[in-house]
Amino acid sequence: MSKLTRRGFLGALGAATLPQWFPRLAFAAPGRASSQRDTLVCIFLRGGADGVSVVVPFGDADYYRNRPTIGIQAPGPGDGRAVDLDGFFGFHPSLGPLKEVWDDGGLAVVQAIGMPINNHSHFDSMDWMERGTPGERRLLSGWIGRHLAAVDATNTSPFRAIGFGDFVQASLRGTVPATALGSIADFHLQGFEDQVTRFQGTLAALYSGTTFLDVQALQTFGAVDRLAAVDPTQYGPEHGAVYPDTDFGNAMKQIGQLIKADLGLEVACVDLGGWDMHDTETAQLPGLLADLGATLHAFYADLHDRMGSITVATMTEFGRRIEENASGGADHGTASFMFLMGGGINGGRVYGSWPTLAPEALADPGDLAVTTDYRTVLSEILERRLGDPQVDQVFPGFAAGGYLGVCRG
Amino acid sequence: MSGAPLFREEGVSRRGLLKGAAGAGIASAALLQSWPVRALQAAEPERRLPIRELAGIVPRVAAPADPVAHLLHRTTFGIRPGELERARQMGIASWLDEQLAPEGIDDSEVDAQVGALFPTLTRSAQELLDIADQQSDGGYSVAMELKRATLYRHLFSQRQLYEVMVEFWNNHFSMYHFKDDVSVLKTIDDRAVSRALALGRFRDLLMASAHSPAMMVYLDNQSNVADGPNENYARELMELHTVGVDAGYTQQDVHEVARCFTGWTVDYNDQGTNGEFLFDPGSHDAGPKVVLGVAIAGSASTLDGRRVLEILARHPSCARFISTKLCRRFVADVPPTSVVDKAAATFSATGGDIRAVLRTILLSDEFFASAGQKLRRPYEFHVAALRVLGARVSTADGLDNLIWPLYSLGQVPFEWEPPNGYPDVGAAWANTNGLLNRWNLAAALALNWFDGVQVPMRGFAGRTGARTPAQLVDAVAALLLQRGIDEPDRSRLIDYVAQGRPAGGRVAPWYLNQQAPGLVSLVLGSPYFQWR
Repeated sequence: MSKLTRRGFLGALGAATLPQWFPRLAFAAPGRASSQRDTLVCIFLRGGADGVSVVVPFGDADYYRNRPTIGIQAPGPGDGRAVDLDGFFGFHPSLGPLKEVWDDGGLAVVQAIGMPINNHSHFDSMDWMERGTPGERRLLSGWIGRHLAAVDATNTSPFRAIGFGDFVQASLRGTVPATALGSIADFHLQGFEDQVTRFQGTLAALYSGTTFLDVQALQTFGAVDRLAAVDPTQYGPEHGAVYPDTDFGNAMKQIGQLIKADLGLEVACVDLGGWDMHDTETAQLPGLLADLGATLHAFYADLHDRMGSITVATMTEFGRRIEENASGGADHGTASFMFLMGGGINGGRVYGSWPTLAPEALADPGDLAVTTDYRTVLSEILERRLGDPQVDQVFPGFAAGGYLGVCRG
Repeated sequence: MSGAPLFREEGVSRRGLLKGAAGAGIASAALLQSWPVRALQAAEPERRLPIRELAGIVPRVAAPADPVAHLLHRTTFGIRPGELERARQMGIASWLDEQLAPEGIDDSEVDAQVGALFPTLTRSAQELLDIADQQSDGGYSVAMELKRATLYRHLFSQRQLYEVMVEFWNNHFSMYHFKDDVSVLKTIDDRAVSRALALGRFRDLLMASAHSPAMMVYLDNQSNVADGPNENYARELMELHTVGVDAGYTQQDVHEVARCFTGWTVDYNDQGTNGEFLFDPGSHDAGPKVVLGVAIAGSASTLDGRRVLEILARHPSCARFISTKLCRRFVADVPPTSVVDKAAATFSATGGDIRAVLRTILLSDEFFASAGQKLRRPYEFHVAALRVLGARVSTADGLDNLIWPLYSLGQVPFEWEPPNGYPDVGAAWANTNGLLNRWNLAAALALNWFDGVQVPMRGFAGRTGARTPAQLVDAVAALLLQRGIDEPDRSRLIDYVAQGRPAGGRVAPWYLNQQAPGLVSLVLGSPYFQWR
């Protein structure tokens, strides 16, 4: 999303609209049929989100010592203060709408989560995280791609896995082709409608080989074919949900639509960029978090009736340096946070052990230390929500276990 | 992104191309029911991507390479009618010599047009900032003019390899056009860094980039001060601009480099030199530093930063990193080690002479053995289609109408947000959304849907001299692809044109003209045109 768009959006969001009525969710107890897998929505916050400004450790005095100008004030009377979660952590004030989901038990936080290896490079870190092999690049596939290849060969829907945006996310790479989708409304062939069989048939025939490009073309034709039945203009989010009119909001809205259309969607990946705040964090972060919070809130309300079989997870390549710099930002750090949302999540809790921000507890060169390997949480999701018992194939060389209990099932 | 329309709003199909257009999907629903894709899919329920191609995808069609055509495919934005014949007459060595000495190529027509159409290109930073203030548009109009000029030059300049290299450096020292004053200052950066030094010495490019106010705004060096250094520029300078992430530097090195660049900032003193480079000794850390094992005594000047740039430019990892990237651009997504070795050796031996490195790469055996190894990125697809078709455009509006579709294709000049530049490997771009957008763009071009752009489709078949469906297919393939196509695909295209008529039988010119847009769309949309 461009900054111009973002600025426009900020203005529009000044009066954040919440649904008049927000559903209280009562999810069925665990015990779904074993063949039933959750739909996973994986949101990658690109750029390294500043976890301690998102889920603020206001109970840690070292936080304010390190963040004299960009720290978020502890909960209390007045605006611009953290939203208390458990007496120690609080949401950034721009995440206000998510408190409702939190109170409803549909949202959990894991703090101080990340990879055991960190070189502070965006590109290495995203690459490692999405491959699922921190520190090495031997495997070409991504962790979700391996999961899809392992669990099921009968779902051949072109919407089994989708990546929103111009690129298929690296976590989806693998032998199961994923569909890159920009906009449902635009996803159809144009120009020769009067000779559709002849023209499109010839085009398809030109791509009848077995190479990467041919498989992608076949996938495209299949997706166009099935999307023809889905009319985005007729889509009305349920339960008064209002998605922000942003790239991210529109992507999540369309994911909701695809889930409801029962097109065989198992995994959707979507990106939200703009987190690399080396400077002026207090100017940049509120708008981005407002987008994230309002969108997740809308998705939760919209998909209320299906939330029992949906798991949403956020990721980011690293957190940020604990001590702020002189630019009003923070440089690349280590551990950050993860949101988990869905009916199968034991929500309303901050998980993970807090390493503290005491000087001796920081990881080099002054970062929040990782106390939970991100693969531990993803493994728990895979086993308990996605019906994948072969976690060792998704994360080779990683000894899964020691689950936090963040998922039901 | 601007809300300007992509195309004229006439007719249902055209409106469908508008981003987010209402009701676009409905019309096609009924039409799709009879098309043969379902049958294709039914035949391949177990389709799987070939895993080895996740690293570097390979073409289905490995057409035998004409070395001259291969050279032109890789070193131009698309082969305009007549250019291949001219290059054949000159020979490979002479053509390359000519392209590597762009100052000797007469490009006066394009220069004159550029001067007339894009007056902001020659303005000073202060003047550009003033324009942005007057327009109250955050520099948007200045930024758009640079995009238009860039596209115009790619379409029409005779100095094609030079323009390819300008694009390469703009993507190497990538920045996002809409981060604060980058919108305005990128115009200066394009002129003073990429265009001034595209075929010069790498060290000079690096030095110019490090002094570029646009880069300082983009990577926050603008606010990098002794009391709380900002590491953004320092890290990306090493990781992305010079030695690469595997060069063995540490977090401590990043910190030390950041200290060396404290005080390098942008002038906003309202003295008439806003937007110029400024060294502020008051915010510079003049203490001693150690960078990659080299001691820097520390001085109250730009010397510390300049020492860093010299160290990095001379580092063996830099020769390798830049050479690898050039080989990825010109040879293959995963270039053979042997050609990278040769390029890096030339880089080191010549002090980073880009011209010499290019000559090494472009005259190597590995280069000529690499036909079909590079997928066109979306921007390259778009520009190449316009060039091979001989499209004409000479207004700002026309150029804008060609820029809008680049947003859905995912590659707009200067709009990649992260600092690593647009990906240069096919696997990144070969996906469903990308293919669909290419097919739709091909149709829009062949149907002449772009206001202010003339694609010469009227009387198209007649101009090729084709009298039969087979002749038309062969002529279109020659014009658009400059390479052969497999016989089964040729037959499919002939069937499309002939609709049951004899492939080699004469048909009325009006009929062939009527079939031409569909045929052109199919060829541009085919796998053949996706490779360069």
